[in-house]
Amino acid sequence: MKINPTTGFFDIDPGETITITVTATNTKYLAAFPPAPSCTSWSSIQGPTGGKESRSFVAPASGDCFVVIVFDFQPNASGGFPPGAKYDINVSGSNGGSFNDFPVEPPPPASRQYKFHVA
Amino acid sequence: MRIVVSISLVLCSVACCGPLRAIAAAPPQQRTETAEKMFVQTLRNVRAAKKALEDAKAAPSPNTDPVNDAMFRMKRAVDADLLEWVKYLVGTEAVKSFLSEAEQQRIDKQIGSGANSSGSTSLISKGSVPRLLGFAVENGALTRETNGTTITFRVNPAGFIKALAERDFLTSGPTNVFTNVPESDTWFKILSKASFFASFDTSKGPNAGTFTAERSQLTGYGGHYDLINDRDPRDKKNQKLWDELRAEAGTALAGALTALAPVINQMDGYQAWVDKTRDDLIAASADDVATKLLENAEQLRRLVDKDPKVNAVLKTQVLPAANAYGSERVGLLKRISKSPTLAFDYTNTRQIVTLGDGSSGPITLPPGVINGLPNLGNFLLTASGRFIGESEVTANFSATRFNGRRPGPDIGRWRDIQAGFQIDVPLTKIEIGKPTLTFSYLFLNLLEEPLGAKILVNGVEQTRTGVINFGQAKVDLPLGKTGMHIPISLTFSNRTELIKEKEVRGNIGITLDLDKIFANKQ
Repeated sequence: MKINPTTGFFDIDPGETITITVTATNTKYLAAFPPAPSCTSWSSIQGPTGGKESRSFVAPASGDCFVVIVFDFQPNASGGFPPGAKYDINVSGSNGGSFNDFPVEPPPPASRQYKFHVA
Repeated sequence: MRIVVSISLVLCSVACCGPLRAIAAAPPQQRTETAEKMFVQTLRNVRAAKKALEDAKAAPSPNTDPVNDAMFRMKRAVDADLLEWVKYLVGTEAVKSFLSEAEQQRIDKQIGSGANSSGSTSLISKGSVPRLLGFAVENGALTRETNGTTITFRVNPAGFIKALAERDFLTSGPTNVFTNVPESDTWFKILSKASFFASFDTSKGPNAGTFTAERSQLTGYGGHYDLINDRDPRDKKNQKLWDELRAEAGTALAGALTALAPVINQMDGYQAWVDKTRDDLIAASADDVATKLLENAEQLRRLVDKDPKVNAVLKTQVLPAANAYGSERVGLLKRISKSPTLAFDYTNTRQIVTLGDGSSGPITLPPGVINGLPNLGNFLLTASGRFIGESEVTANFSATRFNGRRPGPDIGRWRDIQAGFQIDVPLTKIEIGKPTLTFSYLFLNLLEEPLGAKILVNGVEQTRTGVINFGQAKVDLPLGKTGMHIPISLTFSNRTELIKEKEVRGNIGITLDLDKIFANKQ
């Protein structure tokens, strides 16, 4: 997996396994993955446990894949959010390459779109 | 017993008009504020990517990898938060709010106030105690409220200890929100349900106008204890509701957005729009980033308006999923906010009065009072919770005594006892609006005349001793989108100080909300 600064897509190989890992810090885990990526189904789901969830899919032979994750944060009784509450997202490929996205912070709702192009 | 029916017509106007919808025609400052509120996550990502790009290019020997990484982040930042773009494209009015009223107020405060404005006050502070209190406020161990010349400090003992020890608000809640494991220490559990306050009036004492925290400025103190309270959304008892929201409505929303992603990315002109927006944002100064994003957003709206496929996915898949998530989240928070509560409060009010000539005439003690005005100790027990359906009931019992030396030889120790309840029932929506029905009842036994602080029943001051029964049923009927309300009330009382006899009073009023009327004309 390689980043493509021109397109904003992750360039991935056919059959490569892509893993997206979301880790919650200082907040209850309230990130929601889609039932499936736009191009295929999840090949592996781990969690959420201990504020962490990992999902993987195997890249098809060609085309584009999209995954959009939704993030929420629990407010306290007065509507505020705990300092330091965030989600860290890592995207990695089985053929190498890893990308740490900017963390997602309150206020909710928030979402992150990940675009993959099978090269 | 006499029945009095009165009908009154009241026209009330709201002077402050709501935000106007015409964003394009708004002045630059308003456009910037609109963009900052609408694209919170996108702008945060754009600014972080811009900084990464500037840092990479400014390195002594610029390396291709960091520059490429920053350019990739910059391109991603434009449309990474697809949900924010959906809300913009379909119109904020079409998407139901995801936030409770408390959260919205909190967000507005965060956006509207500068970094140095928190806790600021025009009142002068002097001395070591105010400095210590100020330090505790800065570190989250105390909260401070200023109302006129009165400053009130509140503290939760468990949070106080935690905040000072760790400077970490996270574990100052009733549970550790990360693991959702209740604090095991019994003392922590007890202390976390308690809070205390002290109020100071800076207009009193020998150093009036300066906050000294001296006894002469202390006007009251007290404590609060939550015997039952599950209304913190982070409470362990509420975790299952959040898990269901994430797994069901959250997954559905992520699925709808994932269905939209390929359609919008393949739309004619979309990739060119992302490139242009990225370039504009890179070229924009820090102050212009928000307005530049809004300009490009308007260009995207024009592209989407021409594409029936994107519009179809937006309207048939994403919008229903977003509204379902918003409704369920707000519903969850409403449900939590109506969980049962039982609380005990004790308040000591110090009645500081300087006898002699006052600004409104000479100040003297009431007849029979020889030891000065007494301090007032109030014991209050409050219960609330869901009643039937969406209705909520609140009940309380209180007693007030004269503290300290008895005010006079013929004056008893207890001033009054009170008991009351109120039931709020949201009624079924009818064609013209959603009315609400309220029942309330108050029993007051005034054992002694009030000495100092006034006792008000329905806005009328009570001074005669004896039993007072007061009940009211009220229906508030909104008239569609006109901004008009018709409150119809039926009041029962065994006495009022105004007419000196028992009465049943009916009242019809009309209120007019000009804000809504003007909004409808746009």
